Amino acid sequence: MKDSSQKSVRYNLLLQNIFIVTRTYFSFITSFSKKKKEDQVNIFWKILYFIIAPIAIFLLPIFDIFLLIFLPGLHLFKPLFKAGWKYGLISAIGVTLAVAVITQYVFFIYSYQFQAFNLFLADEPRTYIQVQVESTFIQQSFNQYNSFDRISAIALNHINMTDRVLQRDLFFKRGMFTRTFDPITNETILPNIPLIGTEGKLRTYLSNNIAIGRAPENPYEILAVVSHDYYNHSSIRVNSLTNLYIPISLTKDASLYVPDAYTTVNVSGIVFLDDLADYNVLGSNIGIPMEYILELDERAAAVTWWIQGAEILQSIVMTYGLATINEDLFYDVTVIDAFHLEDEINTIKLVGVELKEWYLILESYTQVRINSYLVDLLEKFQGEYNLYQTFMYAFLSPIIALTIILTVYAANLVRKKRDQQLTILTERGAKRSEIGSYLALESLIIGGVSLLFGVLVGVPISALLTKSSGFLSFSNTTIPLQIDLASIYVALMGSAGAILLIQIVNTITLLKKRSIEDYGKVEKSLPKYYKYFVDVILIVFGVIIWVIYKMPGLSDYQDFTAKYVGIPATILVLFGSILFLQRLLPLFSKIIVKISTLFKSDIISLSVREISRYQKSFVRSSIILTLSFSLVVSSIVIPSTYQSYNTEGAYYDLGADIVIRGFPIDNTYLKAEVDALTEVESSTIVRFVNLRDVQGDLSITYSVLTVNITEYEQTAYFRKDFANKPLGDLLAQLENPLQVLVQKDELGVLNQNIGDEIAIAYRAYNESMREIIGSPFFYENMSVSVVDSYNYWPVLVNELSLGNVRSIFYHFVADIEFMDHIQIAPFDVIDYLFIKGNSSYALGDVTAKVLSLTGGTVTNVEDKIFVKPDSPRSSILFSAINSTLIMSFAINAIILALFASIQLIDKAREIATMKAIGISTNQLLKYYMAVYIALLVFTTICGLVVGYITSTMLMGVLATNRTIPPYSMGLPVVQLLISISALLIAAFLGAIIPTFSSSREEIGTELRQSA
Amino acid sequence: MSFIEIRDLIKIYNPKESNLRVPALRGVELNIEQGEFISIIGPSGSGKTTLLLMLAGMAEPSAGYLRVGDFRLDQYTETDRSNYRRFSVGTLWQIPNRNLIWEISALENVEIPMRLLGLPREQRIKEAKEMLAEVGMDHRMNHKPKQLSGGEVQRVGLACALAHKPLLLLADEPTGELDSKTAGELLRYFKHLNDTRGITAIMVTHDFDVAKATDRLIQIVDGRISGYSPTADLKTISDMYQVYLDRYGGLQLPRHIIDKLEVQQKIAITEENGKIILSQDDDFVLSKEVKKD
Repeated sequence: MKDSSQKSVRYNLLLQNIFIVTRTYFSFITSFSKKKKEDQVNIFWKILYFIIAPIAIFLLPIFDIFLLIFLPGLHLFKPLFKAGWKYGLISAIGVTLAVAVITQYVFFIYSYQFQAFNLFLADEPRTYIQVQVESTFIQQSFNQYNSFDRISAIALNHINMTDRVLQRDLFFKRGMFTRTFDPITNETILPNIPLIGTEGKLRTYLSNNIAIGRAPENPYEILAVVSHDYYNHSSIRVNSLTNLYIPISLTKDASLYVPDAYTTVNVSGIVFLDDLADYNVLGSNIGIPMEYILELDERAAAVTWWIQGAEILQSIVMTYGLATINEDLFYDVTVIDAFHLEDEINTIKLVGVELKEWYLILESYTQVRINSYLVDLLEKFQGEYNLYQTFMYAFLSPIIALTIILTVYAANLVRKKRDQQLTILTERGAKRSEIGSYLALESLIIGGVSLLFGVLVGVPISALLTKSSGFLSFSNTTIPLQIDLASIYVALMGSAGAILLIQIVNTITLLKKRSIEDYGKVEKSLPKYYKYFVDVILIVFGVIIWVIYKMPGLSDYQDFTAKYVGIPATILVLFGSILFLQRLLPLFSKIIVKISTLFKSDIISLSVREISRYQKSFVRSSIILTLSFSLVVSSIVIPSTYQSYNTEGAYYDLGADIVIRGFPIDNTYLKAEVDALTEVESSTIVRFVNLRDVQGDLSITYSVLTVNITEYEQTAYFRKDFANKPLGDLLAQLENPLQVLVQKDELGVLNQNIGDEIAIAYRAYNESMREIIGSPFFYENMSVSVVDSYNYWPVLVNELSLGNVRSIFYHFVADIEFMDHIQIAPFDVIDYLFIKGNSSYALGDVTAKVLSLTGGTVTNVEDKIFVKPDSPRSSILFSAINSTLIMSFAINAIILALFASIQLIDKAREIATMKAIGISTNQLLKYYMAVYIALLVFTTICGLVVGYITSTMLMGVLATNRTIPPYSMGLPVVQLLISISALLIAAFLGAIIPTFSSSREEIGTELRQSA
Repeated sequence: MSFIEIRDLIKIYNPKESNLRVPALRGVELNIEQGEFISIIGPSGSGKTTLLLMLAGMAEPSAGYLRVGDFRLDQYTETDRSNYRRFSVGTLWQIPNRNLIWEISALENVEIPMRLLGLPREQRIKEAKEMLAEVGMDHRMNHKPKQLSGGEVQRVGLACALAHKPLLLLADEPTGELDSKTAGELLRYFKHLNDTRGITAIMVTHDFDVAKATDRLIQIVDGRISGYSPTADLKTISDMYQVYLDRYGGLQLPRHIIDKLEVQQKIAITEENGKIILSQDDDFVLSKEVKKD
């Protein structure tokens, strides 16, 4: 007793001394500044103050705390650590996995964050805010140019955004076409060539890049800014005279013979778009291709200067001197903070609002349009990034939970062994504070080792994940692994948090008052939490939250609710149903027992009875295995469903394999050339127009997609469930141009039936009406007859009209000749060429071939697919999946290995007895493996059920942005079979190794050890 | 004053999973002198291990008075009991797993109680080696328990129990898992240590032959002391002639007498010439004389 008191006094003294030292340092540091006299001693103290004191300030309290916590148990460290390190290490496996998951998640997400925004920016060159003032009379004066430019300057200055906008370029543009002879096709063609007038940096840039000829100097002189292709297919040459026409009707021919519709200009020089270096924005390294700046869809423009341009414009009487003024404000994208996009979006939107405001104040312009591709880009990035995060969150949070459960489970498995050791200590007089202190120190060491190994495992996995290109496949990375201080800090902090949580739970469990009499208890009941119906409560809560999530009122906050409502609901249901299904485990074992008895397989029957005997332990293992299987099922079903949802969506949006938007439909030769390509199977022209009607507050839009009835069926994408009839039969009913097909639900809104006539009023356009009524716009009536209905139509139907709203959309499909029966501005009609690629060629190659022939905006469906192979998107999608798979394999093997080992330790005497009565090694293996196989079969079935339910819910979360066309859940049987077989093998190996080694143990040794 | 003094000691177990209260000790009264070697004998469930656990400071009395030396165990908190165990008691259990940590050597096991006392390393090793030598295990001090025989494990266990030089040694069926030869050997070590160190030793057993190795035998039946006797005079358990009379006049008749004479529920008590005569209601007189304690 005396010794102990002395020891305790010694510890207290030591601690007190350390505190006194710390306090002295602090008091010294605070009083030091009062000293004034500069002498040798003071200089010495100063050095101490600046060098040692700061270190001491941080280190001493840490050292004190360390001593306070760990000193009481330090004397027990050697024997206890020697006795318990391997049990600690078992829980360290789980902790290491948890750290590995966190590390790879953090490093991957950080790498993605650093890289993805730049990749996104690279996809969208139009990083500017565009101001458009339509139908503005262009004056032959610099004052007009300057006054427009001044408005933006004032607006930017007003909101202190001058430094964020690096450069402003102003030009006017009016859509025109020319008549030229194509020497290649040997025919006269009418290609578009908008007239552009500009000054400033754009003028300088173009003047400096003239390939042939000189800059315009005289009236009626232009620079032809064209692609080589355009140049080759036209007779536009330097010093050639060219007519510029404005379209006064849907057919260009109408303009050709109207003197007021054209003027003649001289081409003073040629600038080749293909040869132009990117247009550099002042003060940045951003380069933008000229065709994006001038928005040259046709890759051609007649460019001249402001005054000369105004003169040319006015010389075509039918233009009335009107054009659209464009000003591009180049936003400094390099300073955009990818992690605070909401602020950036708001700032850019504010610029737009201010610009509109100042145009109104200074020039009374009300029709100012702001196009911000940057806002679209940022919003798109934000949406996508949220989706990725949701994906990662959905997959990795259960995996992290799983590893934590695994760790606690592992600690529980070895608890009996630890308890024995700690009980001996308690009986010998060790206090709980000493044992607690030792356990804390052990946790620190195990945690440290786990942290180190977790990071060592996590980093290569993370690097591997960045290369994820598909289901368990990896290729060259698109996202280089980026490890920086911030990510290391977050990974370490996250891991340390997880370790702390796990180790605190473990230490508390081990510190609980122990009773020797509890050893060897048979656990015939379900775990305790079943008594409180935790499973049912989880399911009920999950379902309630899911119902709330699906409420229409929350649809405006999809991104937020998906992450914080939809996914938690899914996770609750996931855990709830896994727990609930375990109630069936005893029943399952009874069935197996009955079946095996029926087949007179006594060993199996006897073995499976273990499940009822050790129900608690089996249920715990079964929970983890089921969770692991469920995650694997989800991680296969969801991406497969998501990918087909994605591909179907891309096809639905595009309409065919390849689509050329703004195709010159008059150029029949070009279409014939496309058709003649061996890479092309078929093509068809599709035209789209919106007919608008405004009735008071109500706005009605009739969207009409006109198709070539015979060609469309062969070329366009159309799924069986889009209509009740085959596409051919549906289109065959369109016998005359004014017959239409209508979306099924809209027929109800229209109060119409199939066979009815629908009267339509729409805002028509005809330039020739300007002379008569003072405006080319007027209202026109027509009627169409409904011959049939469809459910969904690619390109056309993206949302369905609901009754009782101010904006109603109707979607009609008609024959291509429908266009001849309406009067509409040519620029309101979108002409497409739908192309079906030859399946023997890669779509990319077909696209390249078509593009080389036609130029213009050629899109193939692969560009529209969200998750393209080897893209960052694919990488992030599959990284979540592959990470889940890798972790699940590891966890399954570890769980059964641990479970089997502990079961075998617990039942060593039983095994020895069985061996003693003459059971063979094979029979013993059969006896022990039968129960694990039964457990695996049960967990696989549960995993499939729960995994599928969870996948359906998760798809409901991920597919919130698009509901048309509807998707169906995929079931990739082969992938599932491969993964589940691999998991089963992993688990089986996990169980068989300890079982096999135990079956070889000597009977005597076993009997003695288990005593 | 006796070294151990127990008065009216009651222990009632109240298991969490049921509302049943199980009385294990129903008022034990006992005095044990320093240096005695005592065995407690009784059938299963009679309360002997419970009594041992309370003497070891591992269970809390429900009521009564319990003193070991200067330690009032009936008034102690968990911390006090830890200190008591650490300094004053050594225990040896029937199951070897409970005596030794299986993963460390015999020497390291014997060192543990000394570590808890805070002894310096050199002293610990020296004394642990001496202790092992005393139980004849110095040649196997670096072996782990699983490499030792059952008797050897118990001898190391005994060394552990005595490593911190306790005043009281408690053993619960220490020979239960051993053959008679090994058991005899262990008991000899027990006796030797009791003689040489003057340590008070209490051993629980249900084996009369083992109990005979001690100085005095105490019998417990149904949570009460039913009799006690110096072992030197005993040939069988039936020879035990002393029955404990508690402070309230209660006594417990030995089972073999009850069985032999078919004693009924009601007994007549008469006093004749300084003798107490117990007789059946039908005037059947017990043949044995009962002496006052």
